[in-house]
Amino acid sequence: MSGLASWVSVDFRRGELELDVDIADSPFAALIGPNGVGKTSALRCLAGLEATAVVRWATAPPQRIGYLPQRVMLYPAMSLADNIASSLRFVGADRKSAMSRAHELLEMVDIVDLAARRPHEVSGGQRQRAGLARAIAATPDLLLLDEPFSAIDASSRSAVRARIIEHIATSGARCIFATHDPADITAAGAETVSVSPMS
Amino acid sequence: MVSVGAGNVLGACATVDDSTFDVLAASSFTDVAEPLEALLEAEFGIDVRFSFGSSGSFREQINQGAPADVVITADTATMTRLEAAGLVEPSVALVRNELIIVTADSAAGRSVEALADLVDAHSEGDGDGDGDSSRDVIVVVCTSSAPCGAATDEMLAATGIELSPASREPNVRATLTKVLLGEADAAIVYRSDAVAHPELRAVEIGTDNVSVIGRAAVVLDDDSDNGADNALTAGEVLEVLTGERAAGLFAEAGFAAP
Amino acid sequence: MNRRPPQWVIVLALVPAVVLGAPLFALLWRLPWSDLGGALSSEAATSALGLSLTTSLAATVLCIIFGLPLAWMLSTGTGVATRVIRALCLLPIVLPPVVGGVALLLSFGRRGVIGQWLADVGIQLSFSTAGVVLAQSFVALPFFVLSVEAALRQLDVEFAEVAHVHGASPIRVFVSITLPSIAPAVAAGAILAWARALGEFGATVTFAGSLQGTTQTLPLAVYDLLERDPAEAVVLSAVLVVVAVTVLVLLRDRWFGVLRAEAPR
Repeated sequence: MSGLASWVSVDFRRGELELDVDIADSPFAALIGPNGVGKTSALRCLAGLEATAVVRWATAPPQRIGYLPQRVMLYPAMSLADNIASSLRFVGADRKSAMSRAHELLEMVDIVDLAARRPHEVSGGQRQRAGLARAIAATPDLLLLDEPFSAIDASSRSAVRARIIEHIATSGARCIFATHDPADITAAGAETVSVSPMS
Repeated sequence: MVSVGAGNVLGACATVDDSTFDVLAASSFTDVAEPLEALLEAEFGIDVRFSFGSSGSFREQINQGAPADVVITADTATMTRLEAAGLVEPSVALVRNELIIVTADSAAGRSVEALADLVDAHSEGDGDGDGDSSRDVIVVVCTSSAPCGAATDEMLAATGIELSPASREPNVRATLTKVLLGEADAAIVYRSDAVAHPELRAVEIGTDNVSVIGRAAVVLDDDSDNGADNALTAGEVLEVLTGERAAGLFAEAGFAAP
Repeated sequence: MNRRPPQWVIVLALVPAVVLGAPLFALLWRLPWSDLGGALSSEAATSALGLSLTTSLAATVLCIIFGLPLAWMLSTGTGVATRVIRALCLLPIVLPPVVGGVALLLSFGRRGVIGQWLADVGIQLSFSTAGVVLAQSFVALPFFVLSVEAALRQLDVEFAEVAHVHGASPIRVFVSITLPSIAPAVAAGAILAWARALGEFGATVTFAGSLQGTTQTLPLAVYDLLERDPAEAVVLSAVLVVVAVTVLVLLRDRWFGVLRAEAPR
């Protein structure tokens, strides 16, 4: 199986996936391809969610991963703020610092007034912003994002996207994201990785 | 004339099978019921059916129309209540049943030789593990509202013994079962129960013992489903029950003459 | 569109409502209202009520403590072992309570399979309040496990996956995310278990016996009183019914639903 930039190769044992790459050293890699081809599966493998997939890392394997699935999946019984803070709590941060960081990120994605709301009380776009914040909250070294900006309304999309991209870039993390929107690729300066099924 | 006619009509409309003769008996008669049934069926050539219940419920049951042509109670008090409520004809004494102690095959059970042995310094049946339970005698008796329980209370009151039973079971059968299962070391039950279970060691209570008189009576027919036929045989059934052959069966089962 | 069922369905539905409501109505109708205070404050009544409340609450707590891990295990398992254990869990519902009591005697009684070892250490469960709690837990557990397992299975597994990727241990996931998400089902299950424990009779009287203050819970007291003092039996029955109905009415509909997973865009 081919590698992904110089970071990683994925051996998807069910033999359904092959990733073709261009070599360059951008921190962003965008998975592109038609629906159903396996972009989500690839991200899930990289996240360690597929028991049958073996992921080999060319450089050091990531210590901490941030993940945003296509359906966002904010934890339903927690407020948006608690959702964002959860990533930090899970790695041992105390409640106070986790919440303050959560509020910083709420500001960054423009949903501060919704901090106390539950996921089912806000719109899809607002959930996605919170999901993004949750993924980056614990400063992971690998970010896996599945169609991360698709639900955000067009008028605010580029602004939020720009802030997220800048945040990721300055943190030194690697980011692999799946998208249908070419504007995402351009904005991130991402290496494209086209995903095709094994024939 | 009119009411008799109506009674017959109602009898004819009864949904219950008239040809069965129903005897409602206290549960202490469970073991002697089979031979009695055989005796009655041979004598009258009709189908006899015994059903059992706890004495306290008889009044309500008969009131609500439970099938009963003859009722046999374990003690006098129950029959008195039935007579007072006008549910039965005047009753006859049938048997005398005495109390007795039965013991289980456990260390504590084997140590019981007399009524006084049931009272142990620690015999509260406390099952939470404090104190050496192997020396406690776990005693069960019937609840006060059951005839055997009332008799037990009477006897204990007369002897001045204060017993702390681990449980007061709803009826004498349940009391007996606890000893049969080995859950309790000893129980105060009827002599007839001890005879029915020879595998249990019985200990006599002695001079302070009390006995209960079981009585039988014909159930008065309102417009219950028992037809006129049964009213004729009920009196005859009572005669057989108080007769010699029945007395022999009762004696075998551990009952005494009233 | 009107979601209400057609009239004839409603009429049909009223039949069970009447069958269920009539006994309750009759009970309250026959209540000796003038003697109420006396009957309720009798020693037998207060002792039975207190015992019933403490044992049923203890049994409910046990059901929660042991039912949660059990429901978790059952909800994630797929093999034969899971099916067998689930059948065992549901057995007490099918078993007549008295049979359950006999089974408890055979297992935890003084001569029981497990009970004899307990007896060696000086622990006897039959005839004890602990035995009452055991009998109640036995019959109530399936209700709790059923409710919780159903909710767990309905829960989208992707929540746990996201949390896992973000570094949460399985326990952390269960406590921080899963449990709060199924809280309504846990509450409903606990209340049903409690109601079942409160009304438990057959297994209790068979296994634990009946002694005022130690093992004679409200249902057992009613049974005993029925022959001695029917009026008081009616009063105590009414108490039981009123307590149970009140709590069950508090079981709101929304507690029967489970918070749904985020709808896909």
